[in-house]
Amino acid sequence: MIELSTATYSLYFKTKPMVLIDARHLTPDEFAGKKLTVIKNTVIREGGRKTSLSELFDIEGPEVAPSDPAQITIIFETGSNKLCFIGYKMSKGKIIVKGDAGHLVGYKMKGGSILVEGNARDYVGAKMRDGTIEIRGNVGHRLGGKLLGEKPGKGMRGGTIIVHGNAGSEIGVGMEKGFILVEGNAGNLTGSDIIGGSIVVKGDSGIYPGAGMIGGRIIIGGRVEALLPSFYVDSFIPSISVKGIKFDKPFMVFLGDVVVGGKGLLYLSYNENTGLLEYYRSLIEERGVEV
Amino acid sequence: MSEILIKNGIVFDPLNGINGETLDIAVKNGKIVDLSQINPSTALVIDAKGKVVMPGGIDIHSHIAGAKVNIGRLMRPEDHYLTNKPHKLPIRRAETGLTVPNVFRIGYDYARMGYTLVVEPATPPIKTRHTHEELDDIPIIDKAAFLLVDSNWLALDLITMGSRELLASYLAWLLSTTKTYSLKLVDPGSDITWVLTGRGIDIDDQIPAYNITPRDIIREMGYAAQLLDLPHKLHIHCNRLGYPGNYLTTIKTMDITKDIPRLSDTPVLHVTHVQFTGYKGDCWSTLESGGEDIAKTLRANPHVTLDLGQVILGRPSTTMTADAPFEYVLYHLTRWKWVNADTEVESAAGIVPYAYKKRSYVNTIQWVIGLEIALLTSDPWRVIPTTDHPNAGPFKDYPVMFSWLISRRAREELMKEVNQRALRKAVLPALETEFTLYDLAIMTRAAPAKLLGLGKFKGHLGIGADADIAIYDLNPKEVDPSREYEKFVKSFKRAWLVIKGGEIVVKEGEIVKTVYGKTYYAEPEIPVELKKELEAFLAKKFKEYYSITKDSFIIREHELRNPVKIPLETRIKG
Amino acid sequence: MSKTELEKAKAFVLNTGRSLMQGISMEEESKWSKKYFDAVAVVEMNPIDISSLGVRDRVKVYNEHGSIVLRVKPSNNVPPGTIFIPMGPWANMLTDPETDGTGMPRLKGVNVFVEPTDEPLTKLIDLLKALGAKQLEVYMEDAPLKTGDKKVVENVVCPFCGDLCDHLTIEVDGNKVVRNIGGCAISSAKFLNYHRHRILRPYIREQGRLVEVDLDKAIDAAADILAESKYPLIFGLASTDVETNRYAVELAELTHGVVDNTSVFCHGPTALAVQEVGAVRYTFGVAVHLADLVIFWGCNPLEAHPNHVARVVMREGRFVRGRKERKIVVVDARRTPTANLADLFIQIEPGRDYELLTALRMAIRDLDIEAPTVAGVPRDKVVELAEMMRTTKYGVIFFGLGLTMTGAKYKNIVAAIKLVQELNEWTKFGILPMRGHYNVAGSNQVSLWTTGYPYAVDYARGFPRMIIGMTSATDLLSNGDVDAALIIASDPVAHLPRKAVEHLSKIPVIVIDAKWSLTTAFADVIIPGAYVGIECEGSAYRLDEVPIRLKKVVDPPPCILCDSEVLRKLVEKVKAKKGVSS
Repeated sequence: MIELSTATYSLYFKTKPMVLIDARHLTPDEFAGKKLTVIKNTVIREGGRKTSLSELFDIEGPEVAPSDPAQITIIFETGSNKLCFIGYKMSKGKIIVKGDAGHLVGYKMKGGSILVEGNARDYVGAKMRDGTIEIRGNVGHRLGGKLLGEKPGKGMRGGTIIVHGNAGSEIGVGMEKGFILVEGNAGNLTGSDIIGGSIVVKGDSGIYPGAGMIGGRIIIGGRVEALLPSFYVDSFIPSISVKGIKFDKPFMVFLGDVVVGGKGLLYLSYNENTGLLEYYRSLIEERGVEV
Repeated sequence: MSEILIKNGIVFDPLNGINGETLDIAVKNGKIVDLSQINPSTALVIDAKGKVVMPGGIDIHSHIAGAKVNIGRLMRPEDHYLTNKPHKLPIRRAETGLTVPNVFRIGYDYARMGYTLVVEPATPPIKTRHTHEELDDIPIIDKAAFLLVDSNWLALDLITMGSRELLASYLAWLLSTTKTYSLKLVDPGSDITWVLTGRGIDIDDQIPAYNITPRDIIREMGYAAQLLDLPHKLHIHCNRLGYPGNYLTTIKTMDITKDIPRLSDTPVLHVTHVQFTGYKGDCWSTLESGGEDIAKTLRANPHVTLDLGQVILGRPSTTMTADAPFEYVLYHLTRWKWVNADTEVESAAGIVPYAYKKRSYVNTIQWVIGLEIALLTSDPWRVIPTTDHPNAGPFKDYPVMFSWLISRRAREELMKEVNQRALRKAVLPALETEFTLYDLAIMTRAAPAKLLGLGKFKGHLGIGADADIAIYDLNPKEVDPSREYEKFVKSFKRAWLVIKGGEIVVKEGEIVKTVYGKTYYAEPEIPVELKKELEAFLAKKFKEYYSITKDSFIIREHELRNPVKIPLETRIKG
Repeated sequence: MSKTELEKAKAFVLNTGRSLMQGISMEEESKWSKKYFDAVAVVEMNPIDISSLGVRDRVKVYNEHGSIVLRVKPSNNVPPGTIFIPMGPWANMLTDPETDGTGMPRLKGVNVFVEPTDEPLTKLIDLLKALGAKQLEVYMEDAPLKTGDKKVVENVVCPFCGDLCDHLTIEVDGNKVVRNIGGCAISSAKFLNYHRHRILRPYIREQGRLVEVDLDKAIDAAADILAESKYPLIFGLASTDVETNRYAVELAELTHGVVDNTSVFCHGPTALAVQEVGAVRYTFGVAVHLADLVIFWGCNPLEAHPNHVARVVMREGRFVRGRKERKIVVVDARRTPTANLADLFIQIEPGRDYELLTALRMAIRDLDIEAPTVAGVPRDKVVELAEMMRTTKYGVIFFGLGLTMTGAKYKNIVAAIKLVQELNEWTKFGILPMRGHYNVAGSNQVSLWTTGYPYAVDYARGFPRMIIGMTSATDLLSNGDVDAALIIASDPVAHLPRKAVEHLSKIPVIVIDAKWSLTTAFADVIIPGAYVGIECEGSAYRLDEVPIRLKKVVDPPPCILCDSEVLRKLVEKVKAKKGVSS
């Protein structure tokens, strides 16, 4: 639904891109207050080649962009999994991709919203500070995470990411704050090295969710492939609700990762993991805590 | 090669006693020549009116190349993510990094400040080929490297055997096969102690597996350096680095000079980054500056020189040193990343990221120490300003460090932001000394050239010197650098013009040409009578100790890009 | 059996890896030879599985990536439920290109189905055609040998694996290598056969056929490809010297492309772990003189680094008198030949090393382990091993691709390094990766000092950056993100998953190599290079980062230049075409 005072720019790929494209300057913040002729000269990189927006895209939109980026919507009418750095550092406004996107969607985003109707690749929402990212398809790895070598806590620092499909490995790696929801399945090492924030995966997860976690909470609503011994069983709860997302079924709650002195909370759905969790349930019973 | 005439510059050339005179300088074929040797009508004329002219800067201690620097780069990708400078081909390659820059940035950033010769102060023999490969890729500057020898099993065997002549011959062989310049001791004896037991050691403790102490090592190495008549005798990082109370060890180390016979008139030993070993107090919360005591000891020991290892507050660093036990301690304080590397037969190293905070009590005391030593000693020929890059701060911050030495105001401005409890314990706020530009030229050009024994063609602007010249856009007749220190810092951060070996490489702080400098190394003469004994000793020990052949150990001249051999006559008797 | 039961019966886990015969045949003959086929196009299966499936002499192995028919070799070393195929193009029809954002594809622990079959064996030609090879002609020749002038060269350095043995004695007769004393079987195969199956001339592919051209024309064609591409990939580099690596980085910088080396699918994850937490290293001599506990984790040096155990474990040291004063522990998913050396063999469930490493970290700190087994290892065995590690005088771990390729990938190494860092509270301990190629460590070193990163470096924006998962060669090729490739001294067609190789059929490819690799079948320009360590001098870094200078033993064949010389010319040509000659 388009608000009345929104200016919309529609971009169409002229030809199918063959190499990675760096579209970091195609944001409402950068378009704000500019004439269309200037916008057409926005720098884009096609692989290592510096070029301009109009070389790669046909663009339609108002002659002059509003000076407030909150009023600008940019629509990539043709997506591409080569389209990287979409919404880089954006603070206001909206970006919609009617197709796939590449790496680093919403990297260092500060506000506004991004919607990708297809799939996206790695590092979606990495180091995001605020704003909303919604991906209708699947995403790659390090969703809402940090870059290699950075301290835990340098990942996502705020905002919301919703993935309707599946996500890959290391969701939220090094996250400090914020909320990530994956409606499908997750890969390995979900929520590794997080120091805060909430991660909810409705489907299954790969190996070792919460590896290295120091704080925060991770909820896995489906099957877990393997659990680390450094998570101590804490309790058994009949249901859980996180940010309005309800799971009406029992969960086993673990504290960890004890090798890093972590006090994070890992919630694993009981029914899909009875083989793995039966033993822990008996541990709690031995303790005399009511199940 | 082309001829250059630099006219009207305000010249500071302490090795030739020139203190701010307006003079012309002539360059021809990469050397400084008499004005009559060039043709002023065809030469390139540079009008340096109202600008300071100095010889190119010389850094005698900066970790710029080799195994520990490179693993430092590996463990600090976050240092690179935010500090990139795209290339400008063919003039300049791309640059990255702050505390552990890539080779191109190292050469360019030194050149931008007007530095033209830098010494890598610690390389272990078995990995020195790596050090040279990196040094070769650093553009513009000339270089040399100091060789780690204090925990070397062959040397310790010789010291225990009491074979002074053979020890000197072995060290001579080491220097020429590894193409290095001088002998480096790091927390002497602590690396072998660390590798064997996981602990460090103080100057009079016993070293495991040997019946000797670090004091013995320092004395014997000092003696060997005298026999070899090395231009730069001995470069020491004192024991107990990083421990509160270690200033006493530093004083004991400096006092060892009386046990080393002086066979020439050059300084007997050089204590490096003395700030790190100038701590008084018995724990971190009672830490105080040992600066006064060290300054006093320095004045009483005329044959000792030192460099500061000055802390730059508010800046990140990556500590890297062959003082592996100290780095293990620092790792426990920082609780983040740690690299340790034990190197067979020779040494060890540790790398730990760190950051110096203005508000920190300990960091403020550390900052105070270096400055107190410099200002209290007030001997620019013997106190060299360094930051032990990248341990106490990035070399890029040298101009800021200089401003603290030449401007009381600069110190006072920063003192407003530092930890006040620390400041109350320091002498620094009361110190009024301000070094002059002439003193600065001594500390960063003339003195290091002399200390390296390269004063004939480096560190001065007289006839015969290499044409390494730095021109700064600062007019001391109009601007008092001690009052307007920000202008001083700005002009010394980005030199107006830099000439290296007769080529203009920097203009207004930007690189305009990439050239490659030379690597100096010492080749001390081994008497023929000792060669056979040395060969037999080496053959036996290589087989027993090393995991590579002696053949692989030797670095040949053609492996280096631009090697310059400094042959030395020695005093070793066969 | 029901359908699902049938499906279950056929479901296996595939492991790949080096084998001694794979190494020897590759060096002795070429990858086009029958010997290589015999060594590599084979599946090792446990006899229990062979009989329960009713296998005769061959099986069809397939999954969503591909399908192949291979001869079966029974082996008790392969646990039931798993199969082993030596690394190579057959295995890679089945491996998973997914890198999990780490650059490391899933080359081990891959889910496959296995059926007995009578279909014809999958030949190399079939594979190459399926992958999209551009031409299948190979002009394999031996470099001409002239005998007569005998000499013995001492202290020769072997250019095969990361152990970089420098004690070889090579006897030559003219330019024929007659004897290799001190080298392992693979080293001998390499030296004695260095002259065989060589690329002796440059070629350009014209209208689907390889045409012989002179060097200048080939370099010009290669320079055109690189200068005109928008995002070229320069790859390989681990089997050549430091100087060549320098030029490769310069080339990537010039063309705003990517420079990556083979560590991306080998010990790249180890470098990622060092970026995260640091490292605790040692050189070989330290282990020789001090190590009283030696742990081989996820590696099989007896087959991949054949001289390693003798040089480092068996040798008498100053404070530890050789094997009798050292304890050897092997941790692996299968009982490798190296495991038979061990005082303690711990069989771990494949892909679950992270769990065992975590439990060890807990045991070191006397934290309770709640589960009765960890990764298939009983809890008290874990505690026993932890105690052994805590109380040793100097412990060393050598680890291999079992840790980098499976399960948590680079996080396995993070856990291993943290374990060793934590052990240093108690005693001395270190950990080293068993690097595969002789100069892969050197490729990382050169990359680090010129770019700040160990591999997977791109220059798209005119400065170096490494974003693993995005700039790694494996991901770039599997996703078709690059538009040209220069492959130097490497054979990605043999060693990368199918999807990555298929992209090479769609873009212009330049190959610089000494031998006819499988990648030449995808090349548009082929330029011969000479062998570092045999025909060219050059430096390389041993797996413990000790830098060693390799020697020239014989002259290269006529008109063949060393790799570094070829690249130097290529750099000059590209500079000219880009208008940035200095």
